[in-house]
Amino acid sequence: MIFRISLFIVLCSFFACQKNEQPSPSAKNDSGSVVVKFDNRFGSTKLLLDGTEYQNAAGENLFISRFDYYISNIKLQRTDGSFYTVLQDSSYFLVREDQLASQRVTLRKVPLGEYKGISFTIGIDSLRSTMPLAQRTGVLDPGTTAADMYWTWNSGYIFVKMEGSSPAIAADPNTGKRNFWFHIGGFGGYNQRSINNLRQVNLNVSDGTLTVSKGQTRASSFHLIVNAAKMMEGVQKVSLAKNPVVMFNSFSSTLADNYAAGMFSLSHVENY
Amino acid sequence: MWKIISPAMNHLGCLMVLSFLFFACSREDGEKALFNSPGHFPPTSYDFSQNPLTPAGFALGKKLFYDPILSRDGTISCNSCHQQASAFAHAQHDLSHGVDDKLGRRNAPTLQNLAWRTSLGWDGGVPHLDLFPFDPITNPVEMDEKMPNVLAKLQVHSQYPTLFEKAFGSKTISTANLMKALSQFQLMLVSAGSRYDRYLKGQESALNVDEKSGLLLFQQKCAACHAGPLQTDHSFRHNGLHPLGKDPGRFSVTLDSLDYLRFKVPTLRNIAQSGPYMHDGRLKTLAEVIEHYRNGATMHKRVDPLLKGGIAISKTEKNQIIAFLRSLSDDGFLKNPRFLE
Repeated sequence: MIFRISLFIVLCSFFACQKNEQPSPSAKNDSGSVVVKFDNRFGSTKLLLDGTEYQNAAGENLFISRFDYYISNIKLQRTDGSFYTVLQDSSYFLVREDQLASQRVTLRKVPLGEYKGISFTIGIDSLRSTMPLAQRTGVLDPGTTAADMYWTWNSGYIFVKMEGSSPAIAADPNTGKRNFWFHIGGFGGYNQRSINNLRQVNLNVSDGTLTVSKGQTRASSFHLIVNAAKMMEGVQKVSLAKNPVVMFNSFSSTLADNYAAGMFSLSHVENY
Repeated sequence: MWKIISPAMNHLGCLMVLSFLFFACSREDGEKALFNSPGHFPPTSYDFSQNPLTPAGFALGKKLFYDPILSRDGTISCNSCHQQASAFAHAQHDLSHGVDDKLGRRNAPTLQNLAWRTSLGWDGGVPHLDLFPFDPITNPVEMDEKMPNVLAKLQVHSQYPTLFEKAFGSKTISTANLMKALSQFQLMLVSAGSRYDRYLKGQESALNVDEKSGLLLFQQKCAACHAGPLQTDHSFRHNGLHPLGKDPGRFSVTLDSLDYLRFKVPTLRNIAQSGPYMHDGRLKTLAEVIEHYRNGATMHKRVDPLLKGGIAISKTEKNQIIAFLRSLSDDGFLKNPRFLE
């Protein structure tokens, strides 16, 4: 019985989704795919985990051991200024520096046309964050893929996670380690207002447009550069020595403002 | 019902409709028999439509609740710190030990009437019962396990895949179904059969003279926060205790300075069995608790306005209030064999 009901719900939601798709391509041929590539860097060089030493704007040397972030609610802007909104259920992505495949995101069923920009949310919107678990699968499943991107004690996703070490940080008296942890999240609170670190990014192609056309052998792609250094300098310089642990606290909004201000940039598009 | 159906193909549609209705009805009945909202309780907060209770789901949830497989080293189950005889709190423990004997920082609360809760945890950091088990399972001072490991262990277990199939129609164990099963057991933990309940339902003799006096005093002096038949308004308040450690309470969830050192107003059902008391279990007896609320002079300066200066309670009144609190004990719940392992 439960199966029947769920089948019914699945069918309903299937048809509901079909209806919601906008603008609905009447046939397969009226749409194509778009790839979004995330090229993680530190300053002008390719980001490498662990072995490579970088320097932040505060003049501190550091190593990065981890850099993961959520991208959601993607919209593509047409040349006439209107937007195509990617189907909500297919618009959540977890990009991880240590997983190459995650840095290449494919958007399917994009209507044919010319696009000049892309916008998205850094993090997971409040609506999705509060949905029943059955609607939070895949990269949003707190029991599997999202287990290390989720706060269990204060239910919600970690939007951006950067971890590493710096000789500038005072050694932990117990372990001798000089680690830092940036775990930035907070969608505004469930039943009482709390911090909101959701940030919106809008990027435009400086030169030309991205084309989705019939019979493309490969999907056209947006190439995004993600400069991890901006976490510590976008709006306000952040010292690792002074702030080695930034998790669910008010200072986390400074880091959110930083990553919203220029961490993501659009390098170029490739058309096929 | 089945006999009237002819095997002819043109009756197949009819059969499907009938069987649909049949199963729909039988499940409705099963649900009613499983979860009964007591007439004198407010409406439930839990959305049962997202997780309809079934005997198979309840049985699975109970097995999981008592199974230390949820912990990293197989030593700690939910039941380790939530025991039926104390309304699923941890008897005689101010704080509880988890894996590797690590000590928690808050008192294990009772698990009862959870369908009426608007948030979980002393700081209310978890808004939904289905989301709560993530916390004790992954907390390093409780079960210290990783969720993907839990799912993997259950998936290769000799019984669980079949039990999940019975409950949810699939042998593949999903996060959502694991949490739904645990909720199904916990939602059934309804305590509504105390002498106080019988009194509320009109049985005058259910409370003696002292207990009735205690009830009146409780209504005058305690029920502003411990409101209604569940003795809680679900709010977070500073009850005047001086902090012993670095626990900021509700502040850690809202980052609102007004919430600093605020904790949830707990239900008082089965309170005589569920000591020690307060968010850190620092008070051993109900007498100590009443004494704390009487003595405004020793209360922290950020205390809730309703408690400023203390509550005027005489020695006699104190005993009467305690007598009333003891009438909130529900033996039918504390000893219900249905909830036993």
